[in-house]
Amino acid sequence: MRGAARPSKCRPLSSRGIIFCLSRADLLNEWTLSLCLVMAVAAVLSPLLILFGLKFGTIETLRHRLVQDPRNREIRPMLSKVFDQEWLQQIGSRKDVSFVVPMTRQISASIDGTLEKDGSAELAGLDLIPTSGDDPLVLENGALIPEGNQCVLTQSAAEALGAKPGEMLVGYAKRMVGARYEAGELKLEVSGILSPRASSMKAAFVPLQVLEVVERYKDGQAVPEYGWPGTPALAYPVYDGVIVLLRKPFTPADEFKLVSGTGFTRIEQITAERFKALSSLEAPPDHSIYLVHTKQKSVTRQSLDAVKLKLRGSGAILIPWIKDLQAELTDPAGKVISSLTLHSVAAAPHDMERFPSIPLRGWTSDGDSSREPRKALLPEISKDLPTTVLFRMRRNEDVLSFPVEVLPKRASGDRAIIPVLLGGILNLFTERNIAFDPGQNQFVLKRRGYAGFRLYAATIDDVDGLKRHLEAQGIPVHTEAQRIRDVMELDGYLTLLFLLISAVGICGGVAALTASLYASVERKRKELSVLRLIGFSRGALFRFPVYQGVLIAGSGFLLALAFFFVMAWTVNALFRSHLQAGESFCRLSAWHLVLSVTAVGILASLSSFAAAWRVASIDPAESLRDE
Amino acid sequence: MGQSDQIHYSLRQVSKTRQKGGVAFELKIPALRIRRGECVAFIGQSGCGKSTLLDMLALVLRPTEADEFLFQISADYPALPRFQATSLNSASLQEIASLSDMQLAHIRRSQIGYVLQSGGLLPFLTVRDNILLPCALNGLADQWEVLEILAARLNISDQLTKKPRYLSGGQRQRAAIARALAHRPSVVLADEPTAAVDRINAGEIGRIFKSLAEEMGVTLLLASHDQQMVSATADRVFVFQVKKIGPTGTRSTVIESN
Repeated sequence: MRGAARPSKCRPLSSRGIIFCLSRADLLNEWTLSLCLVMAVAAVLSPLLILFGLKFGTIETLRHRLVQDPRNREIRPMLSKVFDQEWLQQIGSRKDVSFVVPMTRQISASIDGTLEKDGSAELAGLDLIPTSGDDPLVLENGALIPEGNQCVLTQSAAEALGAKPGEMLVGYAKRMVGARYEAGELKLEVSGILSPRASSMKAAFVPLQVLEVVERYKDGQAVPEYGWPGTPALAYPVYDGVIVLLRKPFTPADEFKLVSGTGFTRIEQITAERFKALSSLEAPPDHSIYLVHTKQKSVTRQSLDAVKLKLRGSGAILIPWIKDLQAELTDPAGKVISSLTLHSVAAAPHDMERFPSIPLRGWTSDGDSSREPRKALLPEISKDLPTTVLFRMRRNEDVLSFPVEVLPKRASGDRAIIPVLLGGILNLFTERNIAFDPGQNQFVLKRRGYAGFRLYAATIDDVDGLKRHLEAQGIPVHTEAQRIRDVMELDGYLTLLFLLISAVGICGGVAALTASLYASVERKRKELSVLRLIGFSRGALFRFPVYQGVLIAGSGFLLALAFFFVMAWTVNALFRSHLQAGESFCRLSAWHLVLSVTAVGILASLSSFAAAWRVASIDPAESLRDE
Repeated sequence: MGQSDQIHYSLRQVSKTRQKGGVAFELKIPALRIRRGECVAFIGQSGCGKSTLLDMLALVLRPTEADEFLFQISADYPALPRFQATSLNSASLQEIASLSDMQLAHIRRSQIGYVLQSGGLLPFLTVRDNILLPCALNGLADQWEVLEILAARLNISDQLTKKPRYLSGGQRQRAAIARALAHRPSVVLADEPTAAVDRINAGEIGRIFKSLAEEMGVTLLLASHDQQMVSATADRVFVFQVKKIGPTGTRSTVIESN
């Protein structure tokens, strides 16, 4: 008897628990009606889950592909401009930039290559792409960063060459000198091959220095480190102006002629005293003196030649003028002995000792070569100066250090006197980087900057901001920002669409559940009033339809979830061939499930409020009265 | 003072008026004193106010007027945790009016048992769960022995696992009586408890009901029009004297029958 009678389920201690058991028992008692309601809820929720699963899965797949492929983070400049090291370092230090490497000119960044083992096989044209450090395109596509004389080939380049990692590639940088072709040979070890998605180009990723030497060679310069012949890139003098001395003063028309098409922009007549101050020379009597100069940028020898041509036959004397320069006098160890102001004078090298006599024939460009005299008259700094000292100049981070022969005679003032040709070259250093090459015993030009860069944003969300930053600097760039924006917009539109459909579906579901629960309460007024009579409070009974609503909606949600998983599996199986590992077109995250459960619980509670309100208004006397 | 001397209900000059469908009805109770453990029956024709009187005694309906309305709560009943602060052991009309719905519900669940005309069993529970529901509601766990005794005495031991719809009218009433007594209330209100039962069954149910109430010391208040059943069970009988007032109105006065 006891065993048969023992209640196992409905023996809770709190009235809340009892009400839950009663509401569950009532649903089970009318299981056919309850099942219909559960299926109705599932019919509303299933399409919504599938729709959201499709939206989320598709967008996430697109986003995943955007995130996974570093090409979508790449930012390429669309103009050829000189980007100096300083700018590149600045942009590379930004938090939203993960990688940047300079690029040489596109036209100079190609070689013809073949494998060393294939000897005379047909050459394949290869683009050279610079890489270094953290290049995501290389690292995220199955290769390591090449070093020294290594290269990483794209898939199409490797196929064209038949190359495998470890093999030696022989590349030929070609140039045309006059009417003949020349080629510089370089050997590169294939250290890796990228996956096909990295690039469809036939290209080799190489250290930046390889591109630099190829560019130098293609520009006609010699590349001693590779044994490639060519002309040296010598530094050249630039001037701040020219002083014109002549017996007859200029007419306004003459003055206009001198600043028209010569590179100069200003002309002014100066006094003999000013002339001496500028040139350290005595002005000849009965001469008008003019300073022809520019406001900002220095001019080359061509501008001086243009002035000379315009004054041909006038008997004018031309003296190039350079503003005083600052330098340091150092010992061979680099220790600063003295700071110097360098004053350039237009004395011929062999006239330096006779200075300050004015050149009788005026200035000529004959001596304007790279083999400038590195001589100087130093002021009285020390009595035991060596015959050769080191001068050092600085410009931002750049340092130019070079030896200078000290003439026995001392300069009269506190400035060091140097020949105007040397001054012109040192003046060039104020505008661009040059270096003294002891091997060639000449000043040579150093790279001013780079024609482009490869830049990768830290994340796809940073691309748009970087694009705007660069465009604000006047650098139009190509990015995949539009593609990223398209995905974001698609996500927005689909979310809106989903919300609209959800709103309609949920309204219908809530209305159906509300009506069903209310009708159920009306049908069970008698039983519910009995519950009130035997001691359930209004508050306790209020929960009766709420629990029923939550139970029905919860069961409906579980059924819908089961249906969703079946459908998601089917959809993903159907489109498996279009999906990569870890991708799916239809899926929900755990967070979505938590949100869905919460939303269903809240909506079910709201749906049952009308019924709950009705229950709370039932009077216990109704059970007696209706009898 | 013995239990049989304790006053359970004391009503004096209590009236309840209501207007329904343009018809006025007035129930008057000049004096009604019910002792604890007594079996009192209220006899009257349909519409005379039996259910209204039971509503008032069940604390679900408030009188319109009352010189005295006292409901003595069982002194040995331990569980009125929500009212410990007020130490309520009797409830006058004023006190009843001031109680919240939850407090009234608590008094009903602990003090009163009900047997309705057709049983009033919950159709979605088994007979066993129906009987044990008031126990569970009062926090009385493991009432198997009570269940066994009541089921055996009422001859429904074989029906405990069934739903009420599978029971006959007599079995439903027996189950309803078991439910009304299971949590040991101080009073059981029975409204036409044998109306849906044949005469033979009605007599037996009445006897068992009376016997169980006596054994448990429960005050039993019956509203019925079955004279035979009432005379077999009730210690005292009250009748409703009905008079016409005005063109459509009715006045019903409860007086003790000799």
